[in-house]
Amino acid sequence: MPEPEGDTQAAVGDQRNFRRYLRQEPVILALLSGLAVIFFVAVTALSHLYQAQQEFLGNRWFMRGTTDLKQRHFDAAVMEFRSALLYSRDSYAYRLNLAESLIGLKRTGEAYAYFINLWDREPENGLVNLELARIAAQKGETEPALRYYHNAIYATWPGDEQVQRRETRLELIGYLLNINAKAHAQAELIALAANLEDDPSQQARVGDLFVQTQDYEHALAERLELIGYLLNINAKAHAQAELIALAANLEDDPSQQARVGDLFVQTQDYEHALAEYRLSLKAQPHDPAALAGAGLAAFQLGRYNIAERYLQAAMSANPNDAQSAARLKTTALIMQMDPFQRQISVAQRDRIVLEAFAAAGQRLESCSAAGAAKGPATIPVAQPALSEEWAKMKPQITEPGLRRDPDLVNTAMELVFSIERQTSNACGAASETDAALLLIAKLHESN
Amino acid sequence: MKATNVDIPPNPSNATLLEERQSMPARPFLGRAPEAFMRLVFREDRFFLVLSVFIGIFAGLSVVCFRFAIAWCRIYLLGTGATLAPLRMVLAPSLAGLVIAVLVIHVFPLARGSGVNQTKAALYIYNGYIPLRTAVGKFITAALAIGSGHSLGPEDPSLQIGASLASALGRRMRLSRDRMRLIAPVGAAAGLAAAFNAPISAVLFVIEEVIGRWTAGILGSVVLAAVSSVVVMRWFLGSESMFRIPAVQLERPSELIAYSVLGVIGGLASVAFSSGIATLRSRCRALPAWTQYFQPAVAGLLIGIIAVLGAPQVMGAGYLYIDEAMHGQFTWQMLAVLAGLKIIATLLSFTSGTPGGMFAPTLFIGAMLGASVGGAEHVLFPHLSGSPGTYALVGMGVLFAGFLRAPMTSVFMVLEVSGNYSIILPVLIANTFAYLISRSLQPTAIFDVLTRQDGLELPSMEEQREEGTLRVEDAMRPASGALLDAVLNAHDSLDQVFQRWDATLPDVRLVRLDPTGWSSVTRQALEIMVKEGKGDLTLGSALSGRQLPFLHPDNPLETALRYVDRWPLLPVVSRADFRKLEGVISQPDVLKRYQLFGEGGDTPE
Repeated sequence: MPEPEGDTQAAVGDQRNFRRYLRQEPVILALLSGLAVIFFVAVTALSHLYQAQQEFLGNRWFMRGTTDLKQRHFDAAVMEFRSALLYSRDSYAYRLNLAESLIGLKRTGEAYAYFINLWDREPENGLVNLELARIAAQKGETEPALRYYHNAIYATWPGDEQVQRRETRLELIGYLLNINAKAHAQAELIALAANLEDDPSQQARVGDLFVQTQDYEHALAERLELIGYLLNINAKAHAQAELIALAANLEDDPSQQARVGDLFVQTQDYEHALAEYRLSLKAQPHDPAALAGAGLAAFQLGRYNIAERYLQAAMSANPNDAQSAARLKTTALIMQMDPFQRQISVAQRDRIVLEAFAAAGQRLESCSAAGAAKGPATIPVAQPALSEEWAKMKPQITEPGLRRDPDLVNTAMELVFSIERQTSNACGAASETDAALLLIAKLHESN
Repeated sequence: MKATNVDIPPNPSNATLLEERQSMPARPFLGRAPEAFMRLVFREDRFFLVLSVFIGIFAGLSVVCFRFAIAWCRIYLLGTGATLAPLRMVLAPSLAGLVIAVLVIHVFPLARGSGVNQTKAALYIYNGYIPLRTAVGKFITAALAIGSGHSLGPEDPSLQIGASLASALGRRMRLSRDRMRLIAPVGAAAGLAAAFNAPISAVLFVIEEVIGRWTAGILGSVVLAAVSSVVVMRWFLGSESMFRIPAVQLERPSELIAYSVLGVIGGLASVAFSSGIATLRSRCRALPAWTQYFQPAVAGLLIGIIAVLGAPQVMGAGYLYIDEAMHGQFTWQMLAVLAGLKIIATLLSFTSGTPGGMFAPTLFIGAMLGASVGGAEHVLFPHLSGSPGTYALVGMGVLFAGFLRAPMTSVFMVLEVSGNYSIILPVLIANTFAYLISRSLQPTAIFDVLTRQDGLELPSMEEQREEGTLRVEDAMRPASGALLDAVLNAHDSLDQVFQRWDATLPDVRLVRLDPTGWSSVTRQALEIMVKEGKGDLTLGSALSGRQLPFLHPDNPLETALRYVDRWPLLPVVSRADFRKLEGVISQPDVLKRYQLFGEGGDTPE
């Protein structure tokens, strides 16, 4: 029957085609896969070549740009960074440096667009936040500026993060002062001061800024801390300079003035110390510490009559002040033994000279004896000469002799002072009389 | 006359779904399990999907190599820096133009043009055939052209390279004709996706502009090819977005007006651009044949001169300068000038026959125009929040929608190249304005203009979308007098038929069956039933085994054409209730409606 045979032949043909199809397709797929792999490997090799070249060219332009940026050739730097971006379109470093170059050219609008994109990618980048803050500040946009400044303070920075953060905060404070936001600036300063390292320049800067915010208390505290630090490291001259600056801006607060006076004493600037103590005593005339300090300052300045007054007052205010007591005793001795003080009679002067000369002789003896006990080599060279001179002059140092030759007073006292100086160097601490004579010698040296 | 059911081949129409289910033939049992399994696995449609993946891989690899080639051409012809030497700017495109002209005329004649229309031609005219030589030619000439500074882009050539590779692969695989036609667009999607690093846009563009329709199979192939090509491309070149802009925040809804203005201006610019291309291209083609050797070189020379005179940004694809425009490097005046000069440069390059694409120049022009409009608007309204980058990005979408007439693709393209969804509202509104204005001022899209200039008649996807579709409701007539109740017997039915005879109706009546379904009966059949003594039999019981296909009012009229030749009268029923008769339709009704449509009367909306 034709129809069934035709059907069978068609089915057989169909079956053959399908089997051929089945044989071909898996093979073709396998071939395609192989071809894909080969093509992939070839393109990978090409890609390595391409990427290497792109990286090389990008780096080359980038290095040129960096050099020009450092040398502040911003125009050239912009062109070079743009060229670098041709080879690494999305490079963060290239875009960042390009933005910095644009800032250098004062093209802040374009720089802003780059920085904002960079910020989108890395919101925690300190430099980007800082630049955005500056741009916002320049545009007068306070809120964004503050936001970016704060971001920058707590952001990540390359290198020394603490330094960067501190500088950023200082810049923020400067900005806040510019826009007259003193309260906010003060708050930032307090935060800054809390984390400040022992760096005199920074502390001074912070102190100045506190003054600008009219927060004198913190300014003083900062300054005092600085000065304390300087004294600790024995930078007395620097500390003195800071103290002078501090004193110039000090309010009328007797306790602060007294404190400053103390610090001046530590720097051995007794003149300023005395001045501060005096200011303090104007408001609090019975302050024992200020009185003692003033007495000390005057004592150190050789103004013994002033020192005596202050020290007496100090003892009255605080009888237990042993140091002031000792100092007072020495002051009294000096005033007794200074032959050159005014308003003493000739007889009194001669008597003082005789006592001083005798004391000097005793000092020589005791010092020589001490030196002989230690050995001849320990005796200073000049000492025997002084002994001879003293011995030679002794017969003349009498009351009649001094009355006859007033110049002999100076000569005798010069010898006394020489002896006291020499023996002080050679034999160290002496009696109270010798100490007084030494101080008198120093006083008259400076005069 | 005995009405019989006829086997109906399956088709995707919703209207005949029930009919499909009822009449689909049972598949023969194969008898051998392994063979059945292999048949299942290696069905051509599934194999086509697997092939699409390979097409994507090869297209992706080709596009990667293409990008390398362009970069190397640029480095060796124009130099390594962003600032170019004046002599190179003039000589490189000119000399390259000479070489390209010789190659295109003598070696790779099909490499001319952008590649989009050539891919469409392969689909509609050449059964999917694109010679592999075209891919090679396009690769070489376009790389040379773009790398030397011609104002063209790499995306269109990538599209054609992908299509050509796919076509070659399909021919080797001896695919069926239908599959061969589809394989070129699949490759095109792969090439475009890799070039743009934008798979969604590529898929949409190919479906919107090349194929014009989609089914599950087409979509699957196109998507697989696009995805695999993008994976390959990202493996080698990274996955960063092409452009970066900050997130957009509209502070006030009224700011959308600013973007609408951009849409209007972009639409006008698109019209100017496409008119320029159409005019200049026809003029260039009208010149003597020997001038074709020099046209690319002259174009290159003029572009070089424009570059030397202060606008080097017009050379090449221009992505670096788009990025700079987004970062506010140029004043709004300069941006407007650049947009205009780029239009001129692209006109010169493209109409001279230099192989290369228009996508990148379109984006460039759009970006410059957008940033310029944005800058000008900021001067007038400083409170506007959009940055230059935002306006530039929206501008790119505007030109894409207005010039290339791909409105949906333009929206996704902007989203994909920027990776920034916050810009969606400005893009939507601006693109819509641009598209509508462009369409109203220039009804024919640029790709259609180019194909007609080439002497081809390819279907215009846009025109097809805009064309009115005739529907069943346009041809159906009221159902009065055409319906017989199923409970009636043959006697009663005959009485009704005789009493209410409508000569305009065919000699048949519809019968509503229980519980659902429709059937029909002729007067002659009723008479036979009565004669045979079945006069008391109800119509419902007599006709239950003879069901009719039915239509719905919104079905395309062409759906009715498939059935009206076999059934003289068909029911048109409501979608909500199959038992509710909306009307009836017959072959004369359908033909009459088509005749009316052809005469231009009563066009559908």
